[in-house]
Amino acid sequence: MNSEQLTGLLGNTDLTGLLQKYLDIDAKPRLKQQIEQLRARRFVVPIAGVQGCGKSTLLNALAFDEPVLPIDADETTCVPVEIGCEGVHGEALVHYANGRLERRPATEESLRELVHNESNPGNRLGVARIKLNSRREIFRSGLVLVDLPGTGSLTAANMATTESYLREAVGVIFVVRVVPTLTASQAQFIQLQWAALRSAVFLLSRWNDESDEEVASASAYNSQRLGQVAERAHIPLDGPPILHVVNGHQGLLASLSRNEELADRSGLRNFLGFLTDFGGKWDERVHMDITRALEGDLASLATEVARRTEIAGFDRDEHLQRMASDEREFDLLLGELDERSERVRALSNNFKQQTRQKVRAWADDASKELRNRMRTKLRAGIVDGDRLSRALRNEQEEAGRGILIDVQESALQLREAVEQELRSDEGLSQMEGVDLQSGVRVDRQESLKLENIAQNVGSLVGGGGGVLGGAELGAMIGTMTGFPPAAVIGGIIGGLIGGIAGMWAGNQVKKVATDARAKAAEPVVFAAIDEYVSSISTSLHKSVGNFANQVDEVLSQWREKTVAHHESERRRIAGGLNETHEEKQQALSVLAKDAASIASWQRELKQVQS
Amino acid sequence: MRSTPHPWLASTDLLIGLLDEAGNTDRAAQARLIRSRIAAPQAFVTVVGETSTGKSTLINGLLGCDLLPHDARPTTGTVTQVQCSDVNTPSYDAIFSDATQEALDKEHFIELSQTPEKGLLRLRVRARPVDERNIGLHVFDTPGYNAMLTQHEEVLIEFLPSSDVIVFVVGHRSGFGQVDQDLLEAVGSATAEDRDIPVLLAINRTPSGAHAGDKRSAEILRLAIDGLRRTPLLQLIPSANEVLPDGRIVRHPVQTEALWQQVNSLAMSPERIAVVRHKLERALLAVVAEADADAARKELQITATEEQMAGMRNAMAMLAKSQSDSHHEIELTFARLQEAIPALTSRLVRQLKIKVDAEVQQSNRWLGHADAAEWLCGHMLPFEVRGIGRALEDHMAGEIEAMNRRLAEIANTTIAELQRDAALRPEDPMAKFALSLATTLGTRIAGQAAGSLLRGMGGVGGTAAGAGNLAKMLLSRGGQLFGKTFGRAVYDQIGRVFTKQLMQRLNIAIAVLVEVATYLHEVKVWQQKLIDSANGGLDDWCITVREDLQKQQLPMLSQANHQLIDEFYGADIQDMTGKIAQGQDQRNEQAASWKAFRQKLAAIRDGLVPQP
Repeated sequence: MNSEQLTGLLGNTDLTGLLQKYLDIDAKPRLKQQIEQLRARRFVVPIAGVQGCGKSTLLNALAFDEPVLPIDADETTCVPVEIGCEGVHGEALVHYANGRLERRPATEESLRELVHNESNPGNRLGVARIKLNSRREIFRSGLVLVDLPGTGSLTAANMATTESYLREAVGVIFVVRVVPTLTASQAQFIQLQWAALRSAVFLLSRWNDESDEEVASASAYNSQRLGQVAERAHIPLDGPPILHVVNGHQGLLASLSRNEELADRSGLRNFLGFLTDFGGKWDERVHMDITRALEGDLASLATEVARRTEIAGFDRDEHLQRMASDEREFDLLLGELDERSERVRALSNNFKQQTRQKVRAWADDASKELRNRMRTKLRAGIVDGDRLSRALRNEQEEAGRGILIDVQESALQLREAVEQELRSDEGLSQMEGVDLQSGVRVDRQESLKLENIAQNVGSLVGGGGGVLGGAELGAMIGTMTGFPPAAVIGGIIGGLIGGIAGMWAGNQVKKVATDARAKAAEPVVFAAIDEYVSSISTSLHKSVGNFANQVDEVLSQWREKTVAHHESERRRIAGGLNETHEEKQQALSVLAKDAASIASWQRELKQVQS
Repeated sequence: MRSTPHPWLASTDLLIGLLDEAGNTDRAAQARLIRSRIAAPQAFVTVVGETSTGKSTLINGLLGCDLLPHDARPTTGTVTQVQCSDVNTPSYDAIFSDATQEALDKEHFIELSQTPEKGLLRLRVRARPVDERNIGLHVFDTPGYNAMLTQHEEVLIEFLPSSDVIVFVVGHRSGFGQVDQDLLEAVGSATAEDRDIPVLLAINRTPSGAHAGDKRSAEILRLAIDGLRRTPLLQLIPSANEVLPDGRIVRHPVQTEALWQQVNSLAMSPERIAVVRHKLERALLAVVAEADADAARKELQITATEEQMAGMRNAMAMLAKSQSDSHHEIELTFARLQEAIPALTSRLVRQLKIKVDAEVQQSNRWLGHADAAEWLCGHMLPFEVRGIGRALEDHMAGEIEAMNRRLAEIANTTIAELQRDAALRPEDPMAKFALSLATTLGTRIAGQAAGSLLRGMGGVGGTAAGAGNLAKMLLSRGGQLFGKTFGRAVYDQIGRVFTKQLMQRLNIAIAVLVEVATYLHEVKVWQQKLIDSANGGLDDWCITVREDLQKQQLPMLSQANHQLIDEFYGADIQDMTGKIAQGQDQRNEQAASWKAFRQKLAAIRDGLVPQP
């Protein structure tokens, strides 16, 4: 089917009308989004990597013939920069948070003023995003590469845009260094993102002074390690993860000097080829996914219309019988839902309790550890305020890492357990089939993806403190009608994890203002330690506590919604009891007409597919 | 220390006799060791403290005479084991790292304790304690901080975690300084997995009028809590020197009764003794089970037909293949690590040098060289080097985790194949044979039999591990892993020990990293000098660490893994060479004798009823 036909179907108001009428789904926003998706041919892939992994160099090499993104050993990016085929070549389109647009030359010099922390500290200028155009082949398919700010530099001004990028993201490119090989915290970072965005591409960023042997052994090691990460996150893999080796510096040099041989040697050409393929396939996949979703919608509609047609033809006895059997089925279903909810509540409470215990133990230990470390430094004569603060910050980050990794890890495990609980195959398929009418019946993989979007939203909304408000929760449930609560709870857990991620950087040290001698500095430093430890503890306690409440809230809301849906269904059927013959005939003819429309759309869709 | 005799002693004696008679010397020796521990409970106390804090004096107080030298200059350069025994005259030995021993006279002992010979592992004194109740107590006097970390790692990785009680000695007058902090942190991290081992903080030579709440003692306790990261028990030991009103000093004997009484009540608490006893009982039962399985296989071999024999040989070959496959896995893993780790170290150091360069170049000129040097030595280098340590550790952990998984796969496949073989012909002796093999492997994973538990504490005459530790070992290894998962805990433990050790080494290395002289030069000059000096220090550090990893740590870790594999697939169960008599009569006779052996063993086993 060509996109135009498909777009036409998606935009058909009769279709949305029937979805609302029979399945109680407001499908308009989703269909509209899908139309946009088809039209824009845009797929966003963020590039993630730790500081100093050569991300900017790589992006330059991938997109341009000369350095456009500023390369600096320091933290360069505090603003999201996207590169795609839109826009004017050689021009940067700058979006400000206040809505202002600005065009600037796309040069390293001009961009430095905006994206470098030194000239735009904390994004004081309020830049929301920068769009760059590239004429490279890889972007023709609609690929948009995004250099996102690290979690540490998220500010209010770019939070919203970063969030929207992640919501859009369909995959992610992780940049991994040759040396050091993947560390535990990097592995966890990857695990978090990878679990959410299953199309992950790994790029091994190579420097000029790294020998072939080093690269080969790092590549083998990292691949093994990534395999372990995938196993832990239950990400199915066909084989060991592949790392594309690219020497960004060499690649850029090759572009500058138009040296084909060097481009080959740098690994750049290979990787560009890979991305082009990836892009081509993506386009097909979007098309296929949307078609399949629509197929699902139509099939559900057809089933529902057939069911209602059957009921409309019932006599009084048959009617009563159906009502009674529906009631029985619903009781079973509700019982099942309650049981599962109970188990999920138990899981979440257990997690809460264990985390609290862990945090308490950590707080005690970390304070002692930090006091030891800082005492040693004071004894060694580090008493100057700036340096003392910096040392303290370093040590605090290190002391905090353990507990944050730990809690994130157990949140991941919790997510696993909850998904299992709410998605075990027999019970749930029954639930979907009977009552939790899913307007969008998509394959499993697709449902994962949708769910993951929810998780991503969660993780960013959570960036501020890991807590979703009641309204936001309601909105999530509202837009995801029909989906098992696994998705929503997954989203809350995502929010929790994201919130914790925010704490990594959120708890900055106050400057320890002292020029005093060691003895006098001690109380000031120790007070700062206490403050740090208690702020991390409080944040964790709060997040985890809120989390448990939210789970509880979602499950209750879910139950209410299910009961309400059943109630209205019952009333509708009961209404049919007292219909006159004419009314019945009229209803039947409407149903027949609707069934005919649905059948014709289904035919059209088949045509389009072939 | 004296308690009612263990009800198993008589049966254990019978067992030893039976094993001796059957020529099963290894198992007889294991049973003897267990018997000696059952008969007389022992407890292990490690005394730690900076040199010249008076550790030796405290131990002399336990013995009631000056057996250990206690000069004002640092004395103990090696570990001294004081074994409180029921003997009339003290005796001295030297134990060497090649496992040989040598009896010493007192002068020679003192000489060795001050200037240890090459190859000396430990000195040992056997003597009667003042208080008879302390018989059975083994007290380890350890060297000071630097020597302990660089030359006596066994103290950290073996003695401390398997102690029943740790005594940490601080001088009241000298107070709690950086070295005490470092040392106590080392104790804390060495026992991080066994936080229930009691640590006694002994504040030595307190002046008259001192008490737990006095300013100095409170300060020491406060710092000690942070250093140890938990709260130690407190003992104040009054100074032996009394200052008379006229200024003369009278020397009294050191008052250590309270200290040793507290040590005794902690180490010999009924709970701890019960846990150790339970562990020993299990070990003895494992010896019996293995002996029986072994005899059963011998019996089966004798009665087997040629075809059945072939089946058994086949099962053995399977085991041998798993063993060699496992060794191969270990070799591959360590070959990779041997290649990757040194290169990784060098490169990380190179990256650090670039950071140092940038840091010094940017350093505020008003702060000057002294501050820059302090910053480097006091924070930046130790902090960054710790990061390097973590990166190395992460890398190794990744490789070892993958190796463990493959080893587990090999073992589980073998066990599953043995079980499948057995299931195919349930009535066959071959099936019994395969099952017996599988069961033995299972016992080995679950109980680690007696072998590994009888090591510990540097092989100090038997099971020396503390009660807390034993309980943990039981917990992690006691699960019925047979047929399910391989004993991961065992490998993980090796990894953990190694990690601690590595971290300690890194720390000590940093402490001596950069020596900075005062350069009275202008900025450009001192900056360059400081950078050069830091680079030089980093180069030295890098060489030391690389060498240590390459030549010491990795080979040690590799060897430990190979050893575990050999223990697991043990040569004893693979022994098919036992001569089987040709004549039917002789065969019948051999079979009958194994049958008889097993019957006697079963009778003994019936006498070994676990204590409530």
